Amino acid sequence: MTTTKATILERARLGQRLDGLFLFDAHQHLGEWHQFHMPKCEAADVIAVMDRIGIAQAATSGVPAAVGSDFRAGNDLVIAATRAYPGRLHGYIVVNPNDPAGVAPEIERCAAEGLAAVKIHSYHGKPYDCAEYRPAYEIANSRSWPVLAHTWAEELPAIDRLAAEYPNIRWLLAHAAAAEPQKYYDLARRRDSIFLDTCNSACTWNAVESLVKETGPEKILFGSDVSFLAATQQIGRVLFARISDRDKELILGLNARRFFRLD
Amino acid sequence: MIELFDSNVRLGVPNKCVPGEPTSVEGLLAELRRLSIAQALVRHRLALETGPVAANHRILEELHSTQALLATWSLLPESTRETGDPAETVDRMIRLGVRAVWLYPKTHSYTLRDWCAGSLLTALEDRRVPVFLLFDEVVPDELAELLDRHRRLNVVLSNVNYRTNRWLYGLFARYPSLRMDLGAPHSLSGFVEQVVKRFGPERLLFGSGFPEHEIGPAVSYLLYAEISDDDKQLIARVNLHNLLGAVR
Repeated sequence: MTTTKATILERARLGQRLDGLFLFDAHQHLGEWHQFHMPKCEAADVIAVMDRIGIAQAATSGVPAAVGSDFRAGNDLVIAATRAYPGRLHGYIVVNPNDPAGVAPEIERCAAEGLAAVKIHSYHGKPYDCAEYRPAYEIANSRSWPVLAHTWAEELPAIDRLAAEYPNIRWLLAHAAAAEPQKYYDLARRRDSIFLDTCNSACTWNAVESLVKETGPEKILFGSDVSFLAATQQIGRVLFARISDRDKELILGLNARRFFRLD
Repeated sequence: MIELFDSNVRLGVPNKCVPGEPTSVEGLLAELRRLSIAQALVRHRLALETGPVAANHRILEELHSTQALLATWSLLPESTRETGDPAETVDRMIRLGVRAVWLYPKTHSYTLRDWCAGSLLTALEDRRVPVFLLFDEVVPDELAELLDRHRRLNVVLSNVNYRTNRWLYGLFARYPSLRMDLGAPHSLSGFVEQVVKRFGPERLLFGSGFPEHEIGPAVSYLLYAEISDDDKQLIARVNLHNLLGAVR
C-alpha cells in the first residue's frame, strides 16, 4: 500500500497544526495602540496563537515604539518577551529619529539585552535616509544585522540608496506589493540584500503568487503584522496560495533562517 | 473536514480588476473546488457597474444550472421603482429561489433611512430576507438607525475593516440581528474568539469577498481560531444555512 503525504493546503484546510515544517513570523508587534482595540496583544497571547498554528519562532517589535513615541517602553516590552520566551521570540530595536542623540545609546542598551535587529517606521515622520537614522544603520551594518522597514511604496527610493550604502544590512520591506507592486519587484530583483514580507490585510487576488513569480520564492518572508492583524488570517495567504509546497516552505520559514542567520 | 459555505462571492467583470481574476462561473467553481468549499452565495458585479436590474437578470441566467452557487439579488428603494414595488419584487424573488439581497446605498446614491428605503426594508424584514452590506457602503450611525427601526431585519456586514471594534461591539451588543463575515480586510488577533465568547458564534459568517479578496485567509482565520469545532461549524455553514432557511 502506498500513502501520499498530505500537502500544506490539505493540512491547512483541516486546520491542522503544521508540525514538521519550520515556520517563522518575521513581522510581529506587542502592546496596545490608541487607534483601535487589539484584543490579544501580549506576548503570551502571541505565543498561544503561534503554538496553535505551529509557528516556531517570530521577530517582534513593541507597538509603543514602532508606531508610538514611547521608545524605551516599547523596546522594554520586547526585551521582556524575549526573556520570557527564549528561542521563540526575537526582538527588533526601534529607534527614535526625533531623538538623534539617543539612537546609538538605545541600540546599545537593547543589544546588551540580546536584541540584534532594527525596525524603522515612517510614522515617525522622517525619511529613512535622513541623518537621524544613520547611527542605527552604522551599527546594523557593522554587525550585519537585519532591518525591517515599514513601507507603502513611497519609501522604496530611500531604501534603494541605503542598500547601496550599507551592504552588510539585510533589508526586509514590510507590506510588500500592497501598493505599487512593480516597484517592489524591481527593487527586490535588483538588490540581493532586499527581501519582502507578505503582511497586508487586503489579501488581493494572486498577490503572493505574483511576488513569487516576479522575485523568486527566496526573496519572500512570511510576516503577519500581529497584533495589528491576525496570524491565523495572514498565514492563509501563503498556506492556500497557488504555488508549490517547496515555495511555501521557503516563505513560511526557510528564508527566515537565512535572513536572520538562525543556524 | 469542516464544510464551508461562503456567504460572499462575486461573479462578473469589474471595471477595474487584477489580471487573471476569476470572473466566470467556471472560474469561481474551480477555486471553490481547489479549497473544498461546498457552496457559495453569489452576488453579480453588474449591480455595481450597470445596475441591479441587469445584475438580477444576469445572475439567474448564469447560475441556473449550478447547484453549488446560489444567487442573490440587489434591490433599490421604492422611490424610482427601478426594481419594482418592494413587496411584489421580494415575493417574486423568493419564488425564483433567491433568498438574500445585497444593498449598495453609497454606490447607488441613496440612504437606508426610512423616508427613502423604508418600504423596501420592511418588505425584506417581513419575509426575513437577509440583507448584506459591504462595510464601505454604510456608516455606523446609519446602520444603528436601520437596526433600531427594523428589529427583525437580518443584516450581514461584509468585508469589514479591522479597526472597528469600538463601535462594532456596541452594535453587536445592542442588535442581535446584526452579523458580519470574516472576509478581508478583517484580520485581528483574538477577534473571532472574543466575538464568539461575548456575543455568540451565531454573529459570524464564513464569507470571503472572493475574488477581490482571496478565500484562503478567511478559511484559516476560522479554522485556526481558538473556538470549539461546534462553533466553527456554525460559522462555516450553519449560520448562513439558517438565515436562508428563515426566509418565508
